[in-house]
Amino acid sequence: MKMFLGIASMALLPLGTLAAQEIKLPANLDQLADKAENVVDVTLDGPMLKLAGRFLSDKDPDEARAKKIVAGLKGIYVRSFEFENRGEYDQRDVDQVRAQLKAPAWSRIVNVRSKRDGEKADVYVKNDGGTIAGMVVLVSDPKELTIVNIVGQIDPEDVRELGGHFGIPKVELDPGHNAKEEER
Amino acid sequence: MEDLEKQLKAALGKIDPSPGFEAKVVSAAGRRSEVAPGFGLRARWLTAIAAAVLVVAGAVWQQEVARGEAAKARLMLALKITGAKLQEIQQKVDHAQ
Repeated sequence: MKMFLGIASMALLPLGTLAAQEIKLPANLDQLADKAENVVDVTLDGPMLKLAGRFLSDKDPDEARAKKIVAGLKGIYVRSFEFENRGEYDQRDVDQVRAQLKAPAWSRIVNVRSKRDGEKADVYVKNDGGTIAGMVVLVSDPKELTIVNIVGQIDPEDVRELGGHFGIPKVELDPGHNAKEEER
Repeated sequence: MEDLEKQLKAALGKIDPSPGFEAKVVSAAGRRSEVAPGFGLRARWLTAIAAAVLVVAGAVWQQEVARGEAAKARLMLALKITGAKLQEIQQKVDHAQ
């Protein structure tokens, strides 16, 4: 947990203002939908996020938090595929995404590898003058692939709320604490 | 008293209309009957246009609401998937420690 804190805090180090940058998802990913057993494809650009934001209630706690999170965002893109059999997607497609997430614009704050299960998980954040201006989550195992790309300004507090409010643990971001990235 | 009677007689006495009075009345009545149908037609058009605008605006609003609700549902799904994946990752990190 402490490691996660520190890793996240490294991403908050001021690196100067960086130009807005979005990642491109390989075209092959769209073809995976035919092979996959379950597919989630969410594409919400700026105007759609604004529209969605207008329909979020202030009375519902989840929606109120989501409304706050969305206020600084320019886009949310989610591709998630679940396959019946192992190895139905090409790891090179994931590597293509990973290759776009390079320093100094991007920092990998979490890198988990499991040789036993063949699982890989990465969390990257985009640095913009000491704030997080984007986040990419890559999770892959032999039968599942998920890519989340959040574009826009995410306050560490928003990440904390995102983590703590949708039934998942809080992602602690402590700018005063550093730790090394973990690899299994 | 006599003066009053004289005045009343003069006021209530029969006076013949001026020449052309009848023609003027008939003409005025004709003009009124010409204006009324035009005004009614315009009013009906305005009412129809207003009703059409309301119907179109209602349909557009309904469409906007449907788009907004769909966008909200997708947004909540995206946030939930993101949250779930972060949870998985955090569990793996915690497990590794």
